[in-house]
Amino acid sequence: MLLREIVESGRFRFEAEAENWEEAVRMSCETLVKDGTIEAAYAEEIIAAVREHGPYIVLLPGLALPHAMKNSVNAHGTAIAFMKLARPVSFDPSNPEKDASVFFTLAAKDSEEHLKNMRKLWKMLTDETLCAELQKVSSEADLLALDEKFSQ
Amino acid sequence: MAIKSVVCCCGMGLGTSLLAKMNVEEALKKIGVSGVSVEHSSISDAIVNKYDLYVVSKDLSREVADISSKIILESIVDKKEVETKLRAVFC
Repeated sequence: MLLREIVESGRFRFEAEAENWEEAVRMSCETLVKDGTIEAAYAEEIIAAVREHGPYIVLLPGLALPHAMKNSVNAHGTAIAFMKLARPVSFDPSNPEKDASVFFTLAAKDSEEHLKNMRKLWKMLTDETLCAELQKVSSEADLLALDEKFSQ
Repeated sequence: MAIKSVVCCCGMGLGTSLLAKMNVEEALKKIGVSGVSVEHSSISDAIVNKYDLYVVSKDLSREVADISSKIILESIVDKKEVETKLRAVFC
């Protein structure tokens, strides 16, 4: 399942907190920047988009999907990265439902591969129990255990 | 007017709109509606290209204020909500 793939790809991190949502977005991109999937500027594209459209990338309370435009020049590969903050960050101070601690950061160069990734993600995000459990993970082992539990 | 084309839109046409499309396709199948194309797109492209029905999350409802044929979703990954709202339009 997707969580195992993310662990195996090394594109995951656990952090205590972020100074603000912009910083959280940048942090959520770092594993992808490190392995060359995206340029650091990709994070700035996401930040600009959230400023334009509002925090709609916070898809569910507690869970964000940071991503930039299709065909972004700053995306060189297709991947999903995971980040978990122990303390949620606020995307909209007037709306606590827009706090996020779980981040699935998307990069899409190849649309077929992206579609496959998104189908896996969709399966996870339409499972309320799994989404609730995601809020509690704090280690690589937790991710693998969750993957195992929901693969059955 | 029969609805033949549905577009799910989000700010960038890459993430949420694709998830919404998966949900809409599954719901249409479930309620027995066929012969309808479901696409995903950024809002700006979707508005230019004209579709019979627009599906957006409530965060972006302001951006489709001028469109009359639309479904606004509280949560785009809520299968029940998508199904109920599509049923109201198609059935």
